[in-house]
Amino acid sequence: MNAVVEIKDLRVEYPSRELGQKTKVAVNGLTLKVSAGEVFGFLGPNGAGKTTTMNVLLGFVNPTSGSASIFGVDVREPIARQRIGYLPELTYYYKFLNAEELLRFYAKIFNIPKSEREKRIDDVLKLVELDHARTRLIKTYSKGMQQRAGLAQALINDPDLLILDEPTSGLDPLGRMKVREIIQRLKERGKTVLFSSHELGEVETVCDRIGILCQGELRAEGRVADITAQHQTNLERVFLKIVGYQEA
Amino acid sequence: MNNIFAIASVVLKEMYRRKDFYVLFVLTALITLVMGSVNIFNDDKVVRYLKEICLLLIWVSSLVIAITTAARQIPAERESRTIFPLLAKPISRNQMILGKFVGCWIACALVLVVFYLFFGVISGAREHFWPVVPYMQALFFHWIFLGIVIALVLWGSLVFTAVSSNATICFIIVAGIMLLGGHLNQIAGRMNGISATITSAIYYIIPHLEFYDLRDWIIHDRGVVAWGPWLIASVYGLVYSAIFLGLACIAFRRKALTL
Amino acid sequence: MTRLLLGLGIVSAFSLSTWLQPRFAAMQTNPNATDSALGILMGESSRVFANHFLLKADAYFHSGTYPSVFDTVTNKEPSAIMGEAHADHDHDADQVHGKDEHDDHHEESIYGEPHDWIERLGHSFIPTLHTHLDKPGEAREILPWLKLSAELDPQKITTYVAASYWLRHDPKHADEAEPFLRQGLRANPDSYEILLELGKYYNETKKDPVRARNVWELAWAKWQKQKAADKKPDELTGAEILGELVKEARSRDDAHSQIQYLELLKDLGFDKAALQQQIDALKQRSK
Repeated sequence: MNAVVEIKDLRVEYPSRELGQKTKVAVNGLTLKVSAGEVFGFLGPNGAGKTTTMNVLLGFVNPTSGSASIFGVDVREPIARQRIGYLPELTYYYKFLNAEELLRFYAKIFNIPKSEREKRIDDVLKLVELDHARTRLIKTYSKGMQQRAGLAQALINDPDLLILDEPTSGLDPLGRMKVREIIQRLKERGKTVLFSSHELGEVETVCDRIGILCQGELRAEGRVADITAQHQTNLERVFLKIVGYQEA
Repeated sequence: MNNIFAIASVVLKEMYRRKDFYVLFVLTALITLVMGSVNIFNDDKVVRYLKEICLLLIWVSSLVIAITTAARQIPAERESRTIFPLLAKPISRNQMILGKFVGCWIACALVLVVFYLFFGVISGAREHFWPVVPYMQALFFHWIFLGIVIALVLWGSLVFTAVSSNATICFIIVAGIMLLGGHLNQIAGRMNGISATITSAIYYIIPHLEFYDLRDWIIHDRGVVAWGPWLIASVYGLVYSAIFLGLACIAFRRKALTL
Repeated sequence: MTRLLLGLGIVSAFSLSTWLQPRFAAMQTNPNATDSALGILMGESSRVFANHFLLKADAYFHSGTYPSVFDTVTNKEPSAIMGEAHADHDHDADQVHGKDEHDDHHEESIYGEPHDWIERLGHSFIPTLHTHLDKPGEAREILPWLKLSAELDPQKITTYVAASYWLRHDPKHADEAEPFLRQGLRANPDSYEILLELGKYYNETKKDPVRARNVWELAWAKWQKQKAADKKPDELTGAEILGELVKEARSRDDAHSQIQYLELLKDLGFDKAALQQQIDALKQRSK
């Protein structure tokens, strides 16, 4: 299968705020491939390097060493993001815009022709079930609705790769289920999804493959079934073992 | 270019959905009309003081609008984290800066058109005289001036952390240049040694914003400004805007964005 | 909560009124205090603005051509429009009412040769040609600033004198001069300058020399009172009052009064020989 995301020996250092320490390593020697049509789950405790890796893929942070490419294009090139959809962990959008205007704005950036633009906006709003609230200002939306508006903007360009940073964080069970359903639908449409999450159950249900990151290093990678079989226990225990949690 | 105008359109939407402009316009109109209704020795033809007050209010209001609008653009995107989904799209940071600049600048143009129309109506109604060309020259110069200010403020917003400190510093710089910029060579002439050299260097480095203030010219009906100098000053202003934008792009490119 | 806010509001209003009332009462009894809302709002800073507005009127008179403090200093000489007297603030009316020695009507740049290209370019966008508001009715443009200046600093006598000069010389506004001068007199009851101007108004505008003489005599009395109190009244203005009285006495062919005023004028030290010659001639004629 073709690699949609390819990360080779990635290292990211930040200037450290602690005394006597010049830099802090956020990601250390990460090598990873995500193939087309796959749903890949990024797992790890807080500070493991998941978000930093996504930041590199999105061009927000430059790698200290190593490389990362999307569809074979270096992530530092803006064009690499032409076929990407991205949903940040916390979705905040322009308060003075409504969902329709927000999507129109992003559609313009993707250079979607005017004739196609409005149809695409309709489709996406229907997909995330926000069609009824399309002309309401986003600031009046509930948290779940805002998250779905976030998903809508991530889908406006009909992306081949979706990068979702903890997409269900802070949502109620119903909201989480709706987001999971959307990911499932995208998977059925052959889209590649790379997402990070703390919800192990969710990862188990949705992902084809997972990677467990700890202290900036990839500690385990593969299909959920293979990993659990290898460790002869369930995913939660595997995760706790890898991150070094000792049960009392 | 498409990306730049897409971002500019969002800035414009923000502008007309916020209350700032409407409040300042109503205030300007109200103060001008109140001053216009003051009885000046029972003479209703006195017009120049009214033009002066109206233009002063227009200058202050437009400067406040330009500085506050430009100063919050990038920090607000970062604070509300809208910058992340935006930069995750196929758009470069340079395009984002240029989009913000174009948006603010077009917004200011619209603001100026409204303000100068009001000014034209008020002065024309009193003096029954419509010097359209000098007014257009003044409006365009004012717009060039705001272009330099917006570019400077955008650069400042990437250098200073807080919006308020950037806005205050830029306001002081602009006011300082307007009041003293043109006289620095004379001040340097009265100094000696290194301080004279430094003052003289500042005189040649700073953008001479005082060029663009045609208030005295149009208050006292001095006719059309000579087109040659007008054109040179316009190009001079555009060059300074480009320099500040370039500095803003460099500063933004070096900035790491972290969630 | 609402009751608490209401209570707080009432208490604040009461405190404010007790604080304002004595001040307001004091202001009403003090004839020198400004009674304009603007003056009250601006406090002591109002004097600075009053002075600024007076200069603004001067700038308007010269159609916006006005050198900055830097230009004046660098050019070493007071600008053509400012006149020598401008260094003395008591005389700044002279520029406004057109008495300066440079009262020419030539259009000339006041800034001289620019030092560099920036200055040269800058001069293209500011009025640099020296002109006066000398077309009929044009001088009205300076009046708002004079009125504002008087509102902000009622003690600035120059303002009343300058405004009155322009009002008297505009047939449409001549009658406005008296109430404005009376307003100035209320704020400055000892001002001989305002009385001099009021006398001119009665003499030239109202053609009432008797009333004018009375006012000028009062002006001279005030001038002498100030001299006696060692307040150093302006000698030029004193001479002008006496000059007006001499002219008025001459119009009545009253040699005795003329001699009396010329003697006083001589005491002020102005061209004693010429004055003595006039006195002698008058004495000769009356014999």
